[in-house]
Amino acid sequence: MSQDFDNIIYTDAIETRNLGRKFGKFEAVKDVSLRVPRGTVFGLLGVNGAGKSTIIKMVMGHLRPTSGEIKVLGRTLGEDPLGIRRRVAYVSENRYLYEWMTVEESVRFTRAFHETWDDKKATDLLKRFSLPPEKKVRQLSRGNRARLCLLLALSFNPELIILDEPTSGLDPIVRRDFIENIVAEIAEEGKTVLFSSHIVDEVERVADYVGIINDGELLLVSTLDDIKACYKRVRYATNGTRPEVANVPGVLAVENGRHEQVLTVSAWGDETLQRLGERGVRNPEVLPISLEDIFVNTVRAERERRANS
Amino acid sequence: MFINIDPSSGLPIYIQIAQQIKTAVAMGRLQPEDPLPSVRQLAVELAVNPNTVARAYLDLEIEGVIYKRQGAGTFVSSQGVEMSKGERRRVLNELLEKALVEGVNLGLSERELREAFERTLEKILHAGAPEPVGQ
Repeated sequence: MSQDFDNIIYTDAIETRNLGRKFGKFEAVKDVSLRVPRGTVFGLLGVNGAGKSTIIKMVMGHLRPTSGEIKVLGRTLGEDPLGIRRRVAYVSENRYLYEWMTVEESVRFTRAFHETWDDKKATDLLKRFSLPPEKKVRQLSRGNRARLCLLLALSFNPELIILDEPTSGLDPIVRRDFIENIVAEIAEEGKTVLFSSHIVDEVERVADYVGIINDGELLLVSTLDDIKACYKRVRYATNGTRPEVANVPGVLAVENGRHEQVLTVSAWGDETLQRLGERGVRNPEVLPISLEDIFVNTVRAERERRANS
Repeated sequence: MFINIDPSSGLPIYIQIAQQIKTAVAMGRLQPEDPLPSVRQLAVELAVNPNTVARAYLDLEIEGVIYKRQGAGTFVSSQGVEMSKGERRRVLNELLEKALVEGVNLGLSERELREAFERTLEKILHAGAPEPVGQ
């Protein structure tokens, strides 16, 4: 699966081509080609173990791909690792902090690596998050450790922000802190965000582009708006006869009720409508469908397809 | 301004924002020349992508519900209320279509549907003004 970005003037902040990673015989990532245009938010959606983190680690240069190519901010991976690290912020679930430092020391320590450090921003975030400057990192709550990581990542004004399951295991207040601050960052011109999550609500709120990943494969990648325009629920009364619609192209799932059928359709349009009509579907009601349902149905359809082949 | 976003409703978020602003204009909760929050403010407040808010604002601007004043921000236009008549018609059409599809599926004839429509309309008009929405 790949994206088509005709007539888009952005250059890409991230581009992967046929990216793959094996661990021994296990293929954690298979043939992933995706593009994250500058100034957009890309949400990687997948269940735990789907391969999201492996992709992100390869993009960050923490893990070498076994096949394919990656470009980050126009540079091929490995071409300028230090330069890239100065322009890209990374926040992961396993937070890199020194336990023995205080909050203030952590800020000063990270500041030393970045010419672009913004003292005002760091001070503002310290206040907004109510982080105690004198406290040792090891004494911080889980939520405050996460907040500190976000502060350190945002304060050097990165061009690209990469977040790997940033809100996993955090309470709703910290999650909201994360989302609000990420949103504020995006609102500033030119910032690009790639984040992974298994929390669909989050992806739906902030993503421009969505990639659904399962067993290391990219099943679907498109703008959220296009996905919502193409994916629909279709409901109709069966009036005695049950139309055979399972093999109509674009029909992803069929649920049979007593007197109705409910379809999940992945390519809604006149053609699908006409085909359904030919099979005897009358007066269909077309309903929007949530990203969560799209996600679940896409992953299930793929599993069924594989079980049958 | 209170806007309620439901990401799981399936309706794109930019449409949810645009519809709720239009409803606020139609109900008079937003009056002509009232200022709207900036894209950034509303995005942070609702915790949604700023591009989404910008798209909702752009759609509303094209429809003439709101307008931008250089350097001053975004405001409700004076024709906003007029425009929302089209919006009311759209809501009505949607509801009518649903009811009529149900009627067809129930096996009612065209004549029966028309009679039911006329009868219901008569009943409502002679019962006086409808209750305000939301009460």
